[in-house]
Parts: sequence; C-alpha cells; structure tokens
Amino acid sequence: MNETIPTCRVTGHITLDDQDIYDPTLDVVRLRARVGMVFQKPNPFPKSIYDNIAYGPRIHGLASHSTELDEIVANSLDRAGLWSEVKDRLDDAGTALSGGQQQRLCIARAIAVDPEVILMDEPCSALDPIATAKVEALIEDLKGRYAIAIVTHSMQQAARISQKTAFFHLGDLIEIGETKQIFTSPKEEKTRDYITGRFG
Amino acid sequence: MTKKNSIKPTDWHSPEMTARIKTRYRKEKNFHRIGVIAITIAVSFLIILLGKISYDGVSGFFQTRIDTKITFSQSIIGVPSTMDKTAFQDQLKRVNFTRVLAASLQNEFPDVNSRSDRRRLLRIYSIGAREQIRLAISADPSLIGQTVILPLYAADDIDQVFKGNIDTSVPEANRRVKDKELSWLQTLIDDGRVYQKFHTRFFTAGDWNGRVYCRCAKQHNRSCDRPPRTNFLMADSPERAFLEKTSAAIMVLLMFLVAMNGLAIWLRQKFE
Amino acid sequence: MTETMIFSALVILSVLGFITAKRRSLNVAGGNISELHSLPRHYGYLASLRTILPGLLILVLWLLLGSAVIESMILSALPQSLFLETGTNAQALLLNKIRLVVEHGNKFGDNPDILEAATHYSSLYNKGLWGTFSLSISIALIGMFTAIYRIKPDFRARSKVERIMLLALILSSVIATLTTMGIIGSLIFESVRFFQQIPLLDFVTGLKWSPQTALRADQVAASGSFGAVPLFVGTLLISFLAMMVAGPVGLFSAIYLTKYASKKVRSIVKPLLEILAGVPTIVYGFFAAITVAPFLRDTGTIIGLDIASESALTSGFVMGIMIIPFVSSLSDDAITAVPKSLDDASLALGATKSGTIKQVILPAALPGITGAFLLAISRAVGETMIVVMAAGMKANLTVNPFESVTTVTVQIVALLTGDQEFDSAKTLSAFALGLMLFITTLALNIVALSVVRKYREAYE
Repeated sequence: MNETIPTCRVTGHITLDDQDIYDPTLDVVRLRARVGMVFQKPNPFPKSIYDNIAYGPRIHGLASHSTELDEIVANSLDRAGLWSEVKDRLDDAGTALSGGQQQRLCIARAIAVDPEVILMDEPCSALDPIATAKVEALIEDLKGRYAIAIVTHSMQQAARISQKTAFFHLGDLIEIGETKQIFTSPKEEKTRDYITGRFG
Repeated sequence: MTKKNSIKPTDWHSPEMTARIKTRYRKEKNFHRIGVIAITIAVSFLIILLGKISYDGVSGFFQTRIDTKITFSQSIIGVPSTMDKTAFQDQLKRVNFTRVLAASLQNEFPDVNSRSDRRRLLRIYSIGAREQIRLAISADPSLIGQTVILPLYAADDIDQVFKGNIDTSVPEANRRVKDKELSWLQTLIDDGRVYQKFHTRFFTAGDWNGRVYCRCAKQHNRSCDRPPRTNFLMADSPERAFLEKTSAAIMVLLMFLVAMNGLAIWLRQKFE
Repeated sequence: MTETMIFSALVILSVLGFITAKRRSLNVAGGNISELHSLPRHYGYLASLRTILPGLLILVLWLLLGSAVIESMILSALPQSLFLETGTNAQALLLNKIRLVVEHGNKFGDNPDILEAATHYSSLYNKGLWGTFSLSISIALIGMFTAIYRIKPDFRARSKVERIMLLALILSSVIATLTTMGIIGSLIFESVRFFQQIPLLDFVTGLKWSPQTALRADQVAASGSFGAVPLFVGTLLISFLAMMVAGPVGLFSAIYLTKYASKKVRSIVKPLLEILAGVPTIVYGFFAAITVAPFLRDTGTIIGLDIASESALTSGFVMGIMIIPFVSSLSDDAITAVPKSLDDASLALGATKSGTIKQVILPAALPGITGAFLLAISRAVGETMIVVMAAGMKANLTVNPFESVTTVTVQIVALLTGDQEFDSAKTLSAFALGLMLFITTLALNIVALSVVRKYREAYE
C-alpha cells in the first residue's frame, strides 16, 4: 500500500514466505488479499454491513453462489465477535455502528478474504477503553488463526497482547525479540531509554 | 464459538483465480484508457474551436492595399488651398471624393469606357478609400492640383480574392466578382501594386465591414443584427469577408480572455 | 456647491471623527489599551460611521427626492396659459423645456415665462444644495460629537460597530432578494395577462406553435396557435444531445484527472478545460453556425443522411462542448470530497484502482455527480446564444436529431425583438414561455441541491 503515498521510501527487504513483497513482478492484488489491513480510524464503506463484509469476497470471486457468500459473511462477523450484535440488521449502514463496532467490522472485512497476515495500524487509538478492551480480546482470539502485526504507541498494550515486539525509532529498527525480554531486559540502550520513559 | 468452517482455504494460484485477476487488470487498463480518451476529446474540441477561428481570422489582421495614382484635381474638389483652415475642413466635408477617385482611375484605365464598367472599376476599392483620400488632402492642403500615389484599401471582395479565399474557377454567373474585375485586378497585381498590410485600424477604429455587412444585409432584406445563416454554396458570398473579420475579432476577444484566465491562475498559485 | 462637494465634506468629517475618537479613547484610558473594552480603532470606526451615515442619508434623500420636489414647486408657480393641454404629458413637455433652458441657456425658446421658470429652477436647486449641505453637515457633526462624547473605558464601541456592519450586510441581501422577487413578479404579471387571452391548458398541452395575432379586426386570428409542447420538446432534445456529449466526456475526464493523472498533467488539463468554460457563448454559436453546421450537412450528404443545416445535432453537439467543464469541474469536486480512507480500505482488500472507483468511490460520490448533471442540464435548457445562431426558427415536434427544431429560448428572443405591440398575445407569450422556463430550471436546481445535501450527510 506504500505506493499510494508518494513520499514513502523503503530500504531493506520485507518478505512474506521468503518472497520479497517489493519485487516488481509480484502481483499486488494477490498480496493485498493475503495481507489484510486494519486502519487507525475505522473506515467502513458507506454500504450495508453485509455489503461491507461481502466486498472482498465478491471482487476476488471467493463465493460461487449467494449461500456461500452468506456463509462467509456470517463466519467473518462471528470470528470478529460482531455476529450476535448485528445479525438482525445486516442491511443497516456500516457507518451507523459505534466506533468500536466499526473497527470490529473492519477487522471482519479483512478476515473475509481469508488472509494469512493481518496488519493493524494503531487499531485502538480512536476508541474508548471499553471498545479497546473488546478489540484487544478479539485480537487475542484471532492470533490462533492469523499472524497479526500491530503498530501501537502504548507500551502497555504491547506488553498485554503481543508475543514478540519490535522497537522502531525514527524509521530504524532498533531491536526485536520476545515481548518479555524486550520489556524486562532490553539489549539496546535506546530501547532501555524508551521503556524507562527517558524519552518518548 | 466459531462456526464450523465449510469453506476451503483460498487457492490464490488456481487457474480460475489467475484468469480472474488477469481480467481485472485488463479492466483496469481499459478504464485508464477511457479516461485518457475523454480528456483527449475535450482538449481536441478546444483546439479545433480555437484553431478554426484562428485559421479563418488570421488573414483578417491583414488588409489588401492597392497603390493608386490619385490626382487631387482642383476642379473636382473645387476648394482653393488658400482658404482658412476651419473653413477648408468644413468645405471638404461636402466634396464627393468618389468623383476624385473615378477621375484618377480614368487616367489609369483609359480603355474603360462604358458607364457600368466604370462603376465596376470603382467597386474594386473599399468605401474607406474615399476616407483615405479625404484624410490625405485634409492633412496637407497643398496637395491640391498634384498627383500622389496613395495605398488605398481594396474592397472586401477583392481583398478576399487576393487572399485566395474565393474560388475563381466557378462560372461567372455564380460569383460576385466578375471576370472584368478580375482582369483589372490582375493588371494591378502584375504592376506590383497590390499587397497586404497589417491592419492596425482593426484595433483602433471601427471596421468598415460593419457597414458593409449591414448594407449587403439590407440588400438581401435581412436584419442587420443577425449573423448570416444561409448556406455558403456561393463561393464568394459577402459572408466570406464577414467570416474573416468576425473570426479576427473573436481572436482578439479570446486572447484577452485567455490572458485574464492565465493571470487568475498565476495569482491563485502565487497565493496558495 | 455640488453634490460631490457635499460628499467630500462628509468624508473629510468622518476621517476627522476617526482620528479624534481614536486619540480620545487612548486619553481616556490613560494610554493603557487593556483598560478599554474595544481597541482604539473601534472607537474611531464608530465615530466615523456615526458621522457619515446620517449625513449620507440626507444626501441620498436629496438625490432621490430633490428634483421631484423642485419640479412640483415650479409647476405650481407657472401661469395656466402655458398649459396647452391637460394631463401629465403636457407637464412633462414643459418640464423638459425648462430643463433644457437651465442646462443650455436661452438658445431654446424665448418664452419669458419659461425663462423665468428656468431661473427660478436654478435658484431653487442652488438653495436646495446649500440646505442639504448645511443639514447633512450639522447632523454629521452631531453624530460625531455624540460618539466622541460617549467614549469611556467601558463603552462597547466594537459591538456597536459590528452591529452596523451586520445591518449593512442584511441590507445588501435584502436588496438582492427583492431584485429576484421583482424579476419573478414581473414574469408572473405579464404571464397572467397572456393567460387571460390564451387558455393555460392550450398553452401547456398544445402541439402547434405558430404565434400570430390579428392586426386588424377582420384578419383571420384563428391561424395563431400557442401550443408550447414543440418548443419544450425541442429544448429537451437539444439538451439531451448536449448531455450525451458532455456527460461521458466530463465525468471520465474528472475521474482521470482526480485518480490517475499526475500533478503535471492535472495542472495543464484543468486550466484548458476552464478555458472551454470561459469562451463566450456567442463564439460557440458562431462556431456552430459557420463550421459545425456545414460539416455535419456535408458529412450527411456523403453517407446518405439528410441532415438539415439547422439540425438539433449541430446545436446539441456544440452545447455539449460548452457544458463539458461544468460536468467535469463539479464531478471533480464530488470525487475529491470522498475521503481517502475509503480508497485505502478498498485497495487494502486487494481491489484494483478501477474496481475501487467503480464500486466504492463513484457510489459514494454519486449524489454530488447527480447534482452536477442536473445543474448542467439546467444550464443547457436555459442556453440562448448557441441555439439562436444555430437552431431553427420553425417549431417542429420531433425527436429526430437531424431535423431542424426550435427551442423555448429562441422563441423568446424572436418574440421580444419582433415588432409587435407589447400587449399583444404574441409578445406576451414570451413571458409565459419565460415563466415555464424559470419554473423548469428552478425545479431542476432545487432537486440537484437537495440531492447533494441529503446524501452528503451520509459520510460526514
């Protein structure tokens, strides 16, 4: 998605299953379906809840008939923990939900195309604490099935819900390791300074 | 509790998926192409519009002149040069300079005898030619009795013929400019006395053509303020001169508008 | 003494008032601005406004009413013998004569009564000017002194100044509104006179438009028919053809320029399209009549179609070119108003750019685009110059674009620039047509604006 930002510059390699994702011969459309993304501010389409979830499967032709599509939608909503809340109003606009519900809708939307990895860009920063708790619980549920990478500015959140943590500073990767190790005995000095609150 | 998943995991490299993705990329390319075609169409409309008007109008900035020997004959003008200045100008207003022109032309073309032929000969010159003669003598009264070469304006029809806008191979009956006039014109051209000059009066004074058009419109019993809408099958209808002059006027107007537009855009970018 | 001198005196006074008030406000606060309720310049503005506005009011009253008052005074003083006939026409003639003498001296007419009346007029006028001068200056001075006298640290000058500004703005919008209502009122008034002569139903449903009225009592007036249907069909046909050109070209241009074009391309093409919008419509009409019409006619002859030289296709096509920038610019606004987050969401799911545009962006921008189309249509319906020059004069009820049709606007021009009496049914029909046209474009505009407004709330 970085090509939509004109001033973005990337050095080094990022690989998914040993394939460089910036390889020009790589099909971006497939990649983006395999790597789902959830944005900082919830951005449901101004369509019905059903159509929001069904959008991805429809464009990729993942369902050969409508009952299959119904099943995919129901599954995704269920996995995102929204099914019980919206199952009676699937035709309502996606934008009519509360902030926390919208974010879970976006997560359900990303799940609907059966990704392998889900990227989340500060998924809870626009939410109140109760919604945050719900989303964090959801992430805990999902981690059994998908590889999830979260960007967060909250160290507490990182410590709460992650198994591995990477610390970036001004565009450089400083340290990466097991969460417990990063937070109790970081190897790099910058990491230590950040964790103890000397800056940031 | 998650439902039982009855859907197979997606095979992103199956032949159906690959074909589908290929189609989507093709649709993308087509969509892109349609956009390019759309703006190309819009811009070419603009180019055609401006181009056609410029093409028709550029020659309107130039006016055909004929160098003619004009004799400021005392007898015809009938005003002595010794008169007081204001009285002189006053008297000058009552002189019929067409006769001056006619007399001078008689000297140039001695074998033009019949009345209708002489009238035809006069019609080679524009109404403005009379004004030019009057202005010359008004500026320098001592010219009375002398013969001077003046660059007189050619009439609209002749102007168009000289610019090559009129098809002279059409049979005479379908033309306004008759063979006799063409032969006289040719004589003048061979003498090297016919040329084009930049028409600064187009910008400074009203053009004769407004009056010419009105006059010819009245001849055809049409109202003066409506532009011609009849067919242009006549190779040299008076509308040809009108077309040229109007296109030239539109060019000036559009140049002004484009300049204002450009200024507005520059200002907007400067203050952004 | 002239009106200009009075005005200049008022301006000078108001500037004086400004300076004095500003200085006094600083004095009253002992040089410390924070003690004052408003800034010193607000006290200055208040003083100058309170000076010039009352004075200007007097001046304006003089300008509006002065001549009328003087004229009635002159008329009542004239001897009866001068009135050759009774009635306002005679009075107006006399007044004219008197005015001419006042302006040009006694070159015109040597009637001693008129000369005396003229001198009387001049002296009254002069007295009036001096009176206005003294009255306006004194009121101005009173205003200035009351404003300055009241200056104390807690005097709320800024609020008062802002209230005056608010009143001025309200006055401007009232004038604009009243002007609009005046236009509509005159349309309705004249149309009512028309419908007293021709029944409304005949007008709205009649299929034959051939406006004639009898000049003499014994002429066959029944040959005139005022059925407006062919005119509206002609208008709609040409507008439809115009939208066929402008709709796709404008919309796809907008999509390309907003989503695909590089900044450089956009900065070149957008101004070019704006030039299309800036070309005067008479130039388009000229182009249509002189270039497009013969071209279409000749092309038609080549491929065996009979295309009239005043065909609907000519005007419709050129009108379409004129409307492209409207559609393109408004659609551009509608598309850029869709938040980028929707783009991101769709692309992140693996959609192509065109897929995103077709399935997410365009549906989201649809209200704005619909509004753009409706506004473009209303522009096409009301367009006059192009059709006057390129379309026909004879009403023709058809949907064949190759035939010559006439439109409502062309007929209005023809009827109002003709030489019929002003209250004949023929000329009045122009007002009825105008009223119909106004109602149509008003309805289109209202629908367009309400569609845009209603759906804009959806994602804001």
